[in-house]
Amino acid sequence: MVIQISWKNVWRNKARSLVIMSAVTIGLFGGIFSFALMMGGTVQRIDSAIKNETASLQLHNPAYLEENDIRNSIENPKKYIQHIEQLPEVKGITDRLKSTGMISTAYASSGVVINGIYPDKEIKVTQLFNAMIAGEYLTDADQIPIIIGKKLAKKLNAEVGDKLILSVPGIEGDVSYGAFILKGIYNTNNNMFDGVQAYIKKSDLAESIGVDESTTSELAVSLFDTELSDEITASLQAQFSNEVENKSIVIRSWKEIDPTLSMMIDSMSYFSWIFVGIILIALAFGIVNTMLMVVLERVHEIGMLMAIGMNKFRVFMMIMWETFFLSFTGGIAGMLFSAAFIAYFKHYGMDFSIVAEGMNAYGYSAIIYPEAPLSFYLEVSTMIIVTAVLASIYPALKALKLHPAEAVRE
Amino acid sequence: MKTAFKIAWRNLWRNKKRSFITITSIFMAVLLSVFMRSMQIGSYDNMTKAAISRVGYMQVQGKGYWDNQSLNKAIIYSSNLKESIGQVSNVKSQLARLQNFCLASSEDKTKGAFISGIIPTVEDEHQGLTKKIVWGNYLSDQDNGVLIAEDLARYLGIIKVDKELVYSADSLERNTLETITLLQDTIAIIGSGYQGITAAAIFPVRGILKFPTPQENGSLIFMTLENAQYTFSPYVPNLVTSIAIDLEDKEKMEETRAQIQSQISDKYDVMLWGEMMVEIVQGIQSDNVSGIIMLGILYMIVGFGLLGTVLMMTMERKREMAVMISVGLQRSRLAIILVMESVVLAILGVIIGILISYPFVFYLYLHPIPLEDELAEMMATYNMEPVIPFSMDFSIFYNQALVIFILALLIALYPLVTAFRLKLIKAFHK
Repeated sequence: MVIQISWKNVWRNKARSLVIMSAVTIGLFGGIFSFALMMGGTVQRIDSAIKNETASLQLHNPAYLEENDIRNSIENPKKYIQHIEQLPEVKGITDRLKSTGMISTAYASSGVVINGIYPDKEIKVTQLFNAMIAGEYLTDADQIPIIIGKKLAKKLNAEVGDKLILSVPGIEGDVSYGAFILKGIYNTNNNMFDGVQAYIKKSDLAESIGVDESTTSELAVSLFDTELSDEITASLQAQFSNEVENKSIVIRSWKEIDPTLSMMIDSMSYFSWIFVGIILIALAFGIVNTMLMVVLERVHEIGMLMAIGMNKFRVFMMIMWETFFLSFTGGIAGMLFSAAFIAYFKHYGMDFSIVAEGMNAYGYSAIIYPEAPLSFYLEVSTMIIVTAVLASIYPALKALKLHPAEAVRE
Repeated sequence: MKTAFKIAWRNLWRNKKRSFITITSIFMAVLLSVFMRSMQIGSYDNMTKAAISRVGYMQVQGKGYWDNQSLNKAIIYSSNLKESIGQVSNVKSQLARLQNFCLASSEDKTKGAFISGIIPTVEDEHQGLTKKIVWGNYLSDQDNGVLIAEDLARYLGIIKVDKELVYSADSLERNTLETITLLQDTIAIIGSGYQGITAAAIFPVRGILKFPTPQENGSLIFMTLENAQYTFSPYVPNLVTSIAIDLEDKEKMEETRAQIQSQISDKYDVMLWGEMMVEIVQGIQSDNVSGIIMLGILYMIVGFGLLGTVLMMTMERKREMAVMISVGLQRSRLAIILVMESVVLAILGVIIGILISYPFVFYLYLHPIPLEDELAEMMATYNMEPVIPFSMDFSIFYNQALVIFILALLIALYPLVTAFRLKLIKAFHK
């Protein structure tokens, strides 16, 4: 009975109801959509980091993580490669030789991380070959090829076909210089990566440093399903528990390799919740004030209801139900709008290329495909409806305080 | 007109509850939008500060140096050039630097390093380098030693770092205590100097610096400017790659740049920090786009909240309006009265909004919200303070108050339209 009256009250003044519903709709839409945009950006950033930079998991000599020294290479890498290769979940594994050094052209020089790789194995693990913007990816047939990122190429003023000089610290503590031909330039949308990572053939790097080609500083593994990274890491740790214990190997999933990646999600949700909080406060005040006005307008009518015997609890519930209907209808509309917008832009992407360089500086891509987990819709919607109902308590209490005799005379 | 205002004023006081509710709506809108914008601008200020601490407000460089940071684009810092720059009144100090990329070597290890030749005392005032010392001493102006960033020194085997977990007396707080032991007291530097000469030298290690970003912590070496000049350019004296300029009045960057450029020849570039740190400026811009979108969403929500309030207020007063029109008040005069009421309410709401938000934001400005462990670390890797800072820029208060005021006036159009379209008979029957 009370519920029916409340529902009718909602539609008695359509303009007012539409205004409150719109506020709720916009609040919900704003909260969810901006979250989805940030979430989409972050997920893309993480995907691209796994695809181009870290792969799903990596194996190192623990000493190498302390000191990126060529002498801290993996003992007997074949043992790990042979075991990991035959796992059904594994898409590819590659052994790399890594060193830091300096790269120069006649124009400028810069510090680099030099990755000595086997091109045919590498393409099964990382997808840099998909990110080439000029020239081509390395192949085994090339003579002294090198590929570098767009950012570094710009700094060095280098074009495909140019000769680059690498200076690498040798195994004896000396410095060896070598000339390489720029075969291609990649762009991963992460300037921090594109500015420092250079790739050459493993045999070339081994020769410069003065070590055997089988020397391996890093094993990178890609999985068909990245979600399994933690699981496979754990099972490999169990498989090689002896080696892990005597500190000859350390196996880490991408989350441990680059902890800032998972932190990004934390920081993003932290700021999203601040925004949602502000939205909720704004909504609550809008609803409190509007409902207070509603009670003021209906003083006569509420007095009448009380006079003819409606008890206080029912009057209270009448106002509460009315607010609930208003926010619930608005909430549903907001969810539908958000879902529709997110679905559209998830397909077509939202283009922020005007500010691309700034986003790339933080590793984000300029075209963002928003996405939000279902749980977030539910959380935000629940919070908005709870806020709305809480906000209606004060106006409902005001209605209770009316004296029927005075109110009827208004 | 005077009578109209009197009536409007009395109307507001006659129904205090109603006026109070409307004013609350407006001042909350101001408070929330000021809060949000202040937080946004505060974080941009934080990013800007990080950028300026690295490159200074502006730099005088050899033409094209910034795009191609080669020692061959270095310039001669003659007393002439120094005077010309010094003549510009807004220039507070000049920080000459010679920076170059080269290899740093210890007994058996070598790594790329970024050498900065600086004037120690001047640079410390600007960058606060002494605060970053974790072992040893800062450089004196005539020093022949170097300062090395922690990770670089550790990699080269110059220092050993022992980490130890320390519990506070009540064992609630846990801190990592680092003890640094010096293993080698010299470092060798090898690289190419000015115009392709080979530069190689050995320096005693004076101190170890700790930087927040892994990139800086793994690559920086500081020495005196003279030392760097002697190492990289023994035959051409007074060579510098850049002269960072500190300003008296930070707001007058553009003008000062023009003045400096007119004092010195075209051989030099005068770069503002924003032109050097393009990525940070664009980072701010991209963030600002989302910031403004969020602000827009907030305006819509507070706008609808206010509209709801005004709508109900008008509804409640329809009968009253009908009475006034029936007893002979012209509709246009009624409209004027209603507009006056709205303006007074909006002004009151906005003023109260500023009065309340000012101390509120001021408190947050003095006590920025600290970020927890992991987020704090992440901020550090971007060279920013681990807090959510707030800005006290007065334009924030002014702009937000203005936007909300205009919003309130737009919404006041509703009662205005009602005054003209009110159907008397219907209103009486209500």
